[in-house]
Amino acid sequence: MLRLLYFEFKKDFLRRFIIVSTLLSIVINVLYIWYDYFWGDSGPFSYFWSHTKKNYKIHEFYAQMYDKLDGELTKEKADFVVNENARLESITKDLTFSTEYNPDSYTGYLWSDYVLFNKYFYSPMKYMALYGLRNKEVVEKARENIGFYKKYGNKFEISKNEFIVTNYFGRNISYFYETQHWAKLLDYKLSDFLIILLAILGLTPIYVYEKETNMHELIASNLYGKISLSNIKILSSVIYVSFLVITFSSINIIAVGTLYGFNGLNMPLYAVEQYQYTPYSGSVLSFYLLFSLLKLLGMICFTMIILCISAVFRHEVFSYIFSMLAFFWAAYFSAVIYSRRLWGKLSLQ
Amino acid sequence: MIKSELKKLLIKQKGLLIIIAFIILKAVILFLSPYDSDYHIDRNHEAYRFYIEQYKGKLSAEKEKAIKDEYYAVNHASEKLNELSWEWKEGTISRTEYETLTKEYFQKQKNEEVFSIIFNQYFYAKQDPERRYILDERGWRTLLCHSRADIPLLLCLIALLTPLFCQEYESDMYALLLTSPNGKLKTCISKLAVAIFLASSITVLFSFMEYAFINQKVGLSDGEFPLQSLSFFQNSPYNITLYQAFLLVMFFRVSGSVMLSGIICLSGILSKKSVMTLFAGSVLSFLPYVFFQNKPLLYYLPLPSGLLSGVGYLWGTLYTTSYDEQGIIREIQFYGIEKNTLILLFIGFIIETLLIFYLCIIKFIGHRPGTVKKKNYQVIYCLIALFLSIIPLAGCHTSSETENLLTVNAKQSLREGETSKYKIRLDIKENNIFATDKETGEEIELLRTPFDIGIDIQAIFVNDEYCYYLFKIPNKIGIRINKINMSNFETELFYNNIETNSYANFFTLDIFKPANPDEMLSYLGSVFCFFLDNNYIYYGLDSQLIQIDRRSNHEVVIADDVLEWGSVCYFNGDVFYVDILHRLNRYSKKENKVQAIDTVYTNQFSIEGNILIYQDLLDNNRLKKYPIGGE
Repeated sequence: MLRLLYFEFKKDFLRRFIIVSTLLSIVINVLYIWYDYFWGDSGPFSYFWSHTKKNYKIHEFYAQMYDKLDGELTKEKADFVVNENARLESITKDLTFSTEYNPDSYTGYLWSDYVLFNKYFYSPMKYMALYGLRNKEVVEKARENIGFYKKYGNKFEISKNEFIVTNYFGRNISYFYETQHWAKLLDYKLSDFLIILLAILGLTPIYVYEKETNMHELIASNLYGKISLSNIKILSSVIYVSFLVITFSSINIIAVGTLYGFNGLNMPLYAVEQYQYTPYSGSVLSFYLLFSLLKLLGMICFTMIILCISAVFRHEVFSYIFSMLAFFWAAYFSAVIYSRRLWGKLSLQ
Repeated sequence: MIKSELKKLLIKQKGLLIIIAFIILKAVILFLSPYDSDYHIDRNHEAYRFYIEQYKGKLSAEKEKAIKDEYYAVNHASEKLNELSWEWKEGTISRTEYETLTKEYFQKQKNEEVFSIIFNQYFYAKQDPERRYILDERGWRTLLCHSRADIPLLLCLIALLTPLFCQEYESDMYALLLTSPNGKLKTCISKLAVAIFLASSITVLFSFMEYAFINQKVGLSDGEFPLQSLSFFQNSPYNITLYQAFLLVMFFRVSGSVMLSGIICLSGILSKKSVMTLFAGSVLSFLPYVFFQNKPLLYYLPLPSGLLSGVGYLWGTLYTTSYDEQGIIREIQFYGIEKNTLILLFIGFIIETLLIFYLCIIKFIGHRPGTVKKKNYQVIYCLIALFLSIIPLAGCHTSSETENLLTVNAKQSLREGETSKYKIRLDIKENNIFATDKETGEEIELLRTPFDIGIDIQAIFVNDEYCYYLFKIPNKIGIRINKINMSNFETELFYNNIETNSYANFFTLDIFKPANPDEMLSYLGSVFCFFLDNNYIYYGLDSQLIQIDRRSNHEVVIADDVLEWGSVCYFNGDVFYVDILHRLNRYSKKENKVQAIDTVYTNQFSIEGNILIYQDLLDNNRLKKYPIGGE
């Protein structure tokens, strides 16, 4: 069986053009992450600055300050951040500060000092330092709700609030690290597109080839031909997409970590502000692994769809185009289902 | 030779079916796609058309005078209305005169926002009257201002042209071809000619389809006006008309599709495998859009994506404006492509395309054959089934009706209501809803989520032992309604039209209308009425009364001139409201139309039984009765 699996995998996926395409896709993916890192975000409310010479001072200030503040959240660090923010705020508050270059400032300009310090250090540290307190209020409110809903026999709300008490109790953030790049990683989509393209490339010919070479008739008459070989084909396809998802997920986290730094990966997921109310209490890293696993499950479902399409058609052009259409249709449908057109309707049922 | 190649590709290799299927897909997508517009124009498009008809074209002294006069009239309409009101109260003018004159000024007041768009167009045109004309921009903006992938075109070309060479290799015909007298150069040239012909003609067809659909939806008139008439093209260096711009863009697209056809043919010849050709075609045509959509780099890449998009070559430099402590900052959003650069680029593209075709010939003649073969059937049925399955998403609905014997004073029900056990009130300050037990007097907080989810509760409606509350999410367009079961305080989502999926524009699928700042602003206002019956949900926002079908979630604006602080009542399926002319209006659900009741001028009214009691503005606010229904 394993031997059969090996041969099937070798026949279907260890082909030169698939290997070359995968390697090229990996290069494109890494280049895109680098491109995004180098040019930063666009728009007036962007968080990540470009790494051009123009922003050298800003990045220098950012790195120095993080060197100083990274690690355990202590009273000294908190006091420094609060006092420094207050100092800069008092200078810029009345808008009479000098807009000329100031060599004594962090970045060369007082206003930039204030904006950057507030945005990258004061606000995140405030969020992290006060998280425990805010969370305590959440748990208290949930406890109160349990009593309330018990009175009215609302079992769903009771269990929901019990879940909140169990899962949110004792949450606290005791370390200060930059976390926004991890939010960026969790929101990164290009590798998904590349995985889908590579999956379509590898999977569409699987059954079509057998038909084109008239091997499907031979296979059907074989002792292990029908069910076993089909199972082997499915299994080898699952191994192929699993390889793609694992490879790209690993590359993404390594690339982002290498460029932005690996600090904060062991912070709890709720340390990332966008995930402050997440029911998941594990670390950013463990969530990323879980997230990749979910992605893998999704890709396995998509694999089955492509294999069905491959089994239906006798020519790979149609198999390929229908797989592409299935992907675009699924992307369209996923957008529509959560949009104003369908969401409300589904929720009524 | 070309004819037989064409016949083989279209008939034997099912190319014709592929083309037809993609034409249907393109038509469906064009049908579902939104067009560029403005929130205020959508609300009052008759006025916009009226003004455009009057002022369109090159600015002249008469037009300028007319626009300025209208500007004065529109901006002083409120003032004039107050004057007329005083004059009528003092008896200087009669009621008939008052009604006639106020109607005119109320209309001007209603047109104020639309006219401000026209005035902006005038102001823009005035800066360079020779090159900037006034016109209805919506259609042309839709056609010329978006750089997006034409997915049906790309997929169609890839699917159609892949078998052109690959089939010969996969069916072992290549060896046979080489031995025939015309099998080498002539066959290759014929195949390439077929590819060029099909790619060009399909691109032209798809471009005209776009033109026809947009023309049908919103109109594409005045194409002879200069390109700079569209403010989007203000920095464009090309002194051409809109029609010429469209033709030029089509020319770019044809060039792009010719280049893509060359790339597909070359991939087919080099790889000899359909799947590799398909993959190469997809990657080279889609990935640039994923990386560089709306970025100038898309147009410089030596790939067909820039040419296939085409419009960016004419754009000129685009700027975004933001503010900081030092004032206005103007940032370049898109670096325009200079005329000379475009010429050089285009020469480069031509050379590249020629090189690709030359390589195709060289490689085809010099290479060895590949493997395998086979054909297919039943494709079109599945394709059509897939396309048709998208159509139900357009939101068609049935309209089964149930009778409602219900009277609602929408202003009162907006903040308070009653079930058999509780008195319910909305506390705007606390941003929460409270229910007071009628027997014990105990006050219960209804929104009990432990999380600070940052919602803005706008209105409540209590009916049938349920409390519905309507809320907005800051910085998001749309509303959401939750329903609380007052017996066990279970909360569930009842209606939502806030888009929540960040994948809406996933990989160049530009299928939703982007948020318009005016639309965003309109959602900053407060909801002035909210109620529902068995079939519909009604709510009022920004002078509009909106009806939502509960089954299909289809939204309809049934009135856009509601006086927000005036009364709104629901009576047995009909909605009564006061318009900005202070007239009583009745929306009849059965007839599905609004009718103004000209004899009643009021701001406040209520319904008791079958009688509408109102304050008569024309008779010193005396209470009067007006019979409704059940006569």
